[in-house]
Amino acid sequence: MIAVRDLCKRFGRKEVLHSISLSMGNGCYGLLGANGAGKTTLIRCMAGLFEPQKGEVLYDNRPIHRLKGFQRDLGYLPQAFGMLPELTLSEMMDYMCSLKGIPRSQCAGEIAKALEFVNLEERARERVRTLSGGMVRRAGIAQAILGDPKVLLLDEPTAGLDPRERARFRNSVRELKRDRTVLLSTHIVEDVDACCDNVIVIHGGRILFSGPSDELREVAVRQAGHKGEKPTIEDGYLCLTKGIA
Amino acid sequence: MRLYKQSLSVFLRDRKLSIPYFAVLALVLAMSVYCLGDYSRYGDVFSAVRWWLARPVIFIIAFFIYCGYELTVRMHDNNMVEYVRAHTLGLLKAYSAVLFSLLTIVAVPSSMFFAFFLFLYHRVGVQYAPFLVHLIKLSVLYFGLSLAAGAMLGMAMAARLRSNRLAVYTLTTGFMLLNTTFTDAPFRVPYLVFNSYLVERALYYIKDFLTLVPHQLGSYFAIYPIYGFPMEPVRWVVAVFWVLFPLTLVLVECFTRRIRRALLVASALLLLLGVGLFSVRGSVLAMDMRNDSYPYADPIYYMDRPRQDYAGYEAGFAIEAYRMDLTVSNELHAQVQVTVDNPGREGYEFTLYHGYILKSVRTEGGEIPFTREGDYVSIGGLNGSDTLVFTYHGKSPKFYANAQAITLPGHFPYYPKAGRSNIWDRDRYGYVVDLPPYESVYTVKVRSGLEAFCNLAGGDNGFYGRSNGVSLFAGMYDEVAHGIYAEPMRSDQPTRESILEAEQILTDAFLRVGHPEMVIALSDKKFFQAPASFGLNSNTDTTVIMSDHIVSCYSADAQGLADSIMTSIVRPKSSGDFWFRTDYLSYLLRGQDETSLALHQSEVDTSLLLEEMEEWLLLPDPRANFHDNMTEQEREEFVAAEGQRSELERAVSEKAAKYLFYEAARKQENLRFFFDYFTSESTEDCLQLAITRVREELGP
Repeated sequence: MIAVRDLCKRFGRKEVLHSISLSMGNGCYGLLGANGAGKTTLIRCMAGLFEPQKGEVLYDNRPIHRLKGFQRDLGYLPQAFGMLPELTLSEMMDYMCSLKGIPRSQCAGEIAKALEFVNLEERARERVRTLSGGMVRRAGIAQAILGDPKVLLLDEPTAGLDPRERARFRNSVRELKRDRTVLLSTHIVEDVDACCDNVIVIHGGRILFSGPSDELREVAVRQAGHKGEKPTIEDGYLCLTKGIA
Repeated sequence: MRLYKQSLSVFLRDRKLSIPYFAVLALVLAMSVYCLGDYSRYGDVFSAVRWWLARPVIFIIAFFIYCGYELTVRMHDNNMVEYVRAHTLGLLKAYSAVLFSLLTIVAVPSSMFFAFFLFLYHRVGVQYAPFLVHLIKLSVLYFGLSLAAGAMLGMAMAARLRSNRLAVYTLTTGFMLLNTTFTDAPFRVPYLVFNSYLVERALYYIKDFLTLVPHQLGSYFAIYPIYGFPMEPVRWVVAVFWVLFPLTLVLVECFTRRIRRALLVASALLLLLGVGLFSVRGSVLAMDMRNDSYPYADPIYYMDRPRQDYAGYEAGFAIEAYRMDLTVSNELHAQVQVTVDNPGREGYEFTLYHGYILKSVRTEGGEIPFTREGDYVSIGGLNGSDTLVFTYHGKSPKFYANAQAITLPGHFPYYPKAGRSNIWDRDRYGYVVDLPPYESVYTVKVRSGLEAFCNLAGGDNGFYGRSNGVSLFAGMYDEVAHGIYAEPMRSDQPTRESILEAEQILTDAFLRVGHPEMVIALSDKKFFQAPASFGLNSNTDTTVIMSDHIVSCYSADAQGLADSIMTSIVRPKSSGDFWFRTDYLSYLLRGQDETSLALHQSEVDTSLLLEEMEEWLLLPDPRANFHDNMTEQEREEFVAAEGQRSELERAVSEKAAKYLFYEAARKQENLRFFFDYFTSESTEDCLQLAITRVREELGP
């Protein structure tokens, strides 16, 4: 559904992404990488916010910059998310509906559904400034799923969430991934372990691994001779990144 | 629409924005009330608008910079930009919503100003449509576009500088200071250090480009009703530029690379276009402390150049006819054909103000060479032709001609005049009135959006007739009574009665001094009331009498008009005769009215007067020892000596004048004697002559 072909991104002289190629269908993909690995840059390129120097992002086999409908099918939650504190949550969602071009008649239903999904329906009439940081994060997830997008790019979605909300979020993602592509960028391996069927490991702007979670676990067994308990994704990730080191 | 509503809600719900905004609206109301009060009290609508509305508006513009910035930057402050941009034209939609909200916010005070101006026009009750148009334009430019430009600047700074408030408010403060008179002192520093006005000019040039409202108005200079508030085309260009240029900077943020490049190119072109149009602004009435603003430009120009004296210069030819084709756009563009009475000469000299750039001089045979030397044009023989065509364009800082107004008096060489004559008299600090003693035939065509008024007969900006000078006025100017042209917005317009009264005062004076042939039939001439600006940097041309018309700053004040006409006749002999001549004119024109003169209250102590006269005669003139390389002590001594001499000179002048023209038995003869003296070519010292005359009166 969404693919990245030979993608390079440079900021000045610093090359942040080196010839990245990926392909993602329906399901949840965990993008794992250390701070500065290039996760956010990759996600921004995929969201069309950054123009790569080389390569392209394809949606339904067509470059996204030539596709007018791509952004309508995209739900995006950036790493740093905020809202206008003077508006109510409902007004802010309405603001997002306007930006997404969702017809006015559908907005109320879409907003109610999205807020219910993140358990914020009771806060709809409250001003954004009265919401906690975690609630704002959940509202960010809500705005991302407005309009039922086919591709969800979530950059550190669980940052700032309490354990209960993280658990709830993981359950929600399981529900979301059924008929869409979800790319979940994080450095919290447990989240990936819990939600994602596929994992992409990025390190120093290069893809070290891309495949099913089980394969990453196998890496731990193969490379480090992991014995005893069943290896985790974290084990595989560490093996990959240490191996590089 | 939903984005717009929500953006507006954000503004209204944010107390840091909405409370000051409503305070500003209250302030606008208060300013309007004060303006109305000022007008009701003093009757000067321009002064009231200037003080209470035009000057403070820069602070309202600054407030809208604040609003524009704070409303836009909250998208950056709240980390919204990234996910807003992830939607199709998301940032464009979001910024558009902010833009329309800001325009709505700006529209409220602008509409209040607009409504107030309509009310003010009704209140003034002049029924003069150009004034209504002027007020409408004023509300659009000063109180509409300028406020919108402020909001746009704020928005652009938010888009470009993001949350860097230090930079934003530093720029805002700089912008505000550049729009006020604060710059006068620092801009003068380069001159004081390097003794050159070049840097000052460059600084003012930059300042002009940033000036949304001319804040100098009211600080030093009045608004002249003929001109009104400065709204030359260049000001509209600047205002529209400062709306559009920030807009392109905002738009640049909204698009991806390819369109962004196109927008950057567009904004660069816009900048070039703005600067280009600004550079050819032509004649703008600069009313500030810069060295080339209208009160200072000519005095500085002539003071800086070697003294040239062309008094008594004989041209050797006369101009029989002028055919003047004048186009008044951003400045004066002229094609003037002159017909000379003596085509066989080897050379011709003309006087044409140096501000006009002479492009060519042609005869029937084609272009001929000429040399330009300041105000003078020299050409060779005419090869049998008796006509010459001068093509030139340019401006004068004071006698302007632009899209807003025309004030070109006939005594000013805005068209070529025969021979060489001085334009500025540095001793008398004023323009020289040097009119030809003969009349020429003029055919004048003025191409302008303004209705021009001329001393010649005609209409529809075409005039024809004979005179010794052509005066042209346009702007908020009209024929207020038959043969009387004035600024309809002035409360002190001349009337037929005041002109007749002045004529009577002068006639009495001429008869008293035995010169009935000099009686001037003022009421037979067209009367043009000059803007008060004419008298501001010159005390020599407040009233100029030409063969068929009068141009005068005086108006309903008959005595003032008579004084000013007599002053132009009773010319000073030297700078030292100022007090004596002033007193002489007082006794000549007001001598009959004893109650008006405080001097009449006591008699002159003649023995003391004689003593002071002796002392003055013996006192050495310190100016004889003046030189540029004086030490500090010498300079102090010079100032003290000059002060002492001047004080004594004044005392002697006053007493001598009072004695000679009021107390002496032969006071009528004395008046006559000095009238002949002042109107003669005599070079004798005035006060010496007075002393001699007093001694003769008192006897041995």
